[in-house]
Amino acid sequence: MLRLAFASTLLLLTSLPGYAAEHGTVTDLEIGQRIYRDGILPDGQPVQALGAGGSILSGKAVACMTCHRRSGFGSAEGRRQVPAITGKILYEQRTHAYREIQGGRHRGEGARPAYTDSSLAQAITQGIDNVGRRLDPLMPRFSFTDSELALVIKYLKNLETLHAPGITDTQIHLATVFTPDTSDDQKIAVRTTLTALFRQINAESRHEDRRAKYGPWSEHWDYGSYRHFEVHFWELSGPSSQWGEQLNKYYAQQPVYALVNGIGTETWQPVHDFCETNQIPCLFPSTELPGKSADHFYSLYFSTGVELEARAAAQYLAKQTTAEHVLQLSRNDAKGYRAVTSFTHAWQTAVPHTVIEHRLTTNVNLDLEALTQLLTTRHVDTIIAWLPEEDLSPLVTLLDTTPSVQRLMLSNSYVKTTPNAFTPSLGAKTYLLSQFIPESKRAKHLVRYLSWAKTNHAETNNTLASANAFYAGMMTVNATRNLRANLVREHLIEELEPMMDNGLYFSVYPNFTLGPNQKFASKGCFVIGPMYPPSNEKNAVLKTEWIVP
Amino acid sequence: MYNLGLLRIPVAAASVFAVLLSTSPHGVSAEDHSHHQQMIDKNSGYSVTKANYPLPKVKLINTEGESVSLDSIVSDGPLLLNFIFTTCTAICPIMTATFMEVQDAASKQSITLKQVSISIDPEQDTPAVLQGYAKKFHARDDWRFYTGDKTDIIKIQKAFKTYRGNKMNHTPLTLIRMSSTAQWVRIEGFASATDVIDEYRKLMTE
Repeated sequence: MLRLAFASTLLLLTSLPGYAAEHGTVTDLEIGQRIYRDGILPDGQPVQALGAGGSILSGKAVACMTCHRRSGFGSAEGRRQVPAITGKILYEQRTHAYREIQGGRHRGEGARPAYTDSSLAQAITQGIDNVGRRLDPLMPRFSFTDSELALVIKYLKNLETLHAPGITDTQIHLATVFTPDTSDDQKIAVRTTLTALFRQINAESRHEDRRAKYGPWSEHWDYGSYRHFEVHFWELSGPSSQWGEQLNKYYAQQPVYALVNGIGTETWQPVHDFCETNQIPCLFPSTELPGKSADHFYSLYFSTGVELEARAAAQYLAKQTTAEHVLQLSRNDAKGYRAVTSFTHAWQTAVPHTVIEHRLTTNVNLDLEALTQLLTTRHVDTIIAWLPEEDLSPLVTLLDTTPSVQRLMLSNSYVKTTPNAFTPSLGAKTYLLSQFIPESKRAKHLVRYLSWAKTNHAETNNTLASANAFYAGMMTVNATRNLRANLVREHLIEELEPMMDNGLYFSVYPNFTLGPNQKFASKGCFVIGPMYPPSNEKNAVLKTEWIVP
Repeated sequence: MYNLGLLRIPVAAASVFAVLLSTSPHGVSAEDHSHHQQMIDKNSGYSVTKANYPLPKVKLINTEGESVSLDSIVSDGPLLLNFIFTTCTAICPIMTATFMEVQDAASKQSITLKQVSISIDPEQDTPAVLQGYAKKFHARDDWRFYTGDKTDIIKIQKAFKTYRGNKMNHTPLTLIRMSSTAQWVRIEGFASATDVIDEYRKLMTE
């Protein structure tokens, strides 16, 4: 049952029972964190509270973090402002009402004196602030015992209030990581773009510290956080098992606030792990193999990469009446493995379809004889080739002459279009999986990046890598600016989430959207084809279908 | 800035909306006035208006992944409709908890009521995600969740005059319609399950 004590008078917050002692090595802050983040009380029961409209809420739905976020800096929905609740802010006087700053139509905190432990307890349990105003109905009224309340308050007081590593009084340090498999033209593209971008941003904002110093309070509020951006390029070497150590070394030499873009075609997992462990935002690396982890928070990606293509392929094929027996061809590497396993999982979740996985030995051409044998003994109607052009070209005759094969799907993370060696008859049954806007429509989409690159003399040979770097750089700068003086890393991630939907540029992806705790911005994939339309439709635009798996 | 064409009633500020009503009905256009019958409950934090909304001919996708036309989804009554998204942290958990309570109250009081929740984050909220969300809130057969093509969902929000550009800008809205020929009743703000059932009962006796 709901344990509510709304009629309770002031709660006495004196000495706490020794929770650390009772819970072995678990500290008060860890228990407080569980209440704050997961809505779980010290005894393992869910937190309970009364919500707006009299609804009874419990557990994670009513955990402080759900609305006030991991950073404690709050959030905004509609015209409602969920206020910041870090100890530093609550225990400080608020001199200006939120609507004075944001305009009259916005709801938010009014001016108020500094909270005390007892007035904060009253706000949490009764929904009354420290000058007697009712809090927004979105704020539930919590049912806590005195000792639970003390744990929550202790946790709030301890929420991050210091500047993150990588921030100095005058600079914000960022790093861009290149894994060893990154090509020279990719590196040049990213370096050129980010160097030009931060040079421009620093030049444009050089007077902001003066504005903050000599302007009225509102200008201090706007510009007081002005700092120069400095980007460092970290190149990794050797096998991926050694990257973590190299990253730690770079980080020890030069702490950074966040990682911005970067490129890895083989795997991103060690960089992902480094960021999650050190609580460093990792913002939009160009990778087909994003990292995975249980408590994934700090890494934001353009998409789930090759996995997105695989899942889209499964969803697309599930709708085709002639697709039942699928053969997947791949190289024997991490990317091939992720593509194949993601497809197989998605394809067999819906219906117990047949799927055959056939892998190449890394960097050795496919055993044509074995594949011919396979195609004569097993019925295959669809082939998905997670292969680059050099692996595909030798297969043309075999694929073209196997009558049962009705459909060949290629991946845009391996090929841009159909290989030159393809015959019209093979092209007529070939489809391309692509997360990117088709080439013919990209120029319009990239107009902001392209015109910026031109005016800033930052044009490169690799538009894809540059446009991604430009996007990641712009978002990092804009989000950091929005944080003003609160340069807390968790808050940076939270700030980026709602910004994505209103972006003015998209790189080569058709659109981006994020929301609370969403980590992958582009969520769909095009299926383009057939790649060679029938001759009477020669000038026809290729058919595209947008699949959101 | 926003021009919602609607009355905004601050919660627990009866005096404020008394002033609003008597002097300048802030943001209410003449067109809206001619169609809407204003009914305002002074003791709670929501407003009730009535209107007809011409709906677009679009299809949505249910939790089974099947395509269903919006017309057929809203064809019978009585019907309760809201907009949500599953990763929403502040407004939707309350909206959805209210729908859950309405579902329970309706079944206890033997009220037949179709409930529809449409996602405004369709690319994140795939049929499988919505299925999990529905399960989490114990939605039964009469409470369906829908996703769809992004542009279609925008058209629907525009038709109901609740499109705010960015999903994070959304505001709490519940719509009731007793039959396909009746007007829509628009509840803006956080109405409790009891409030919603009361509005429904009022409509039954009209």
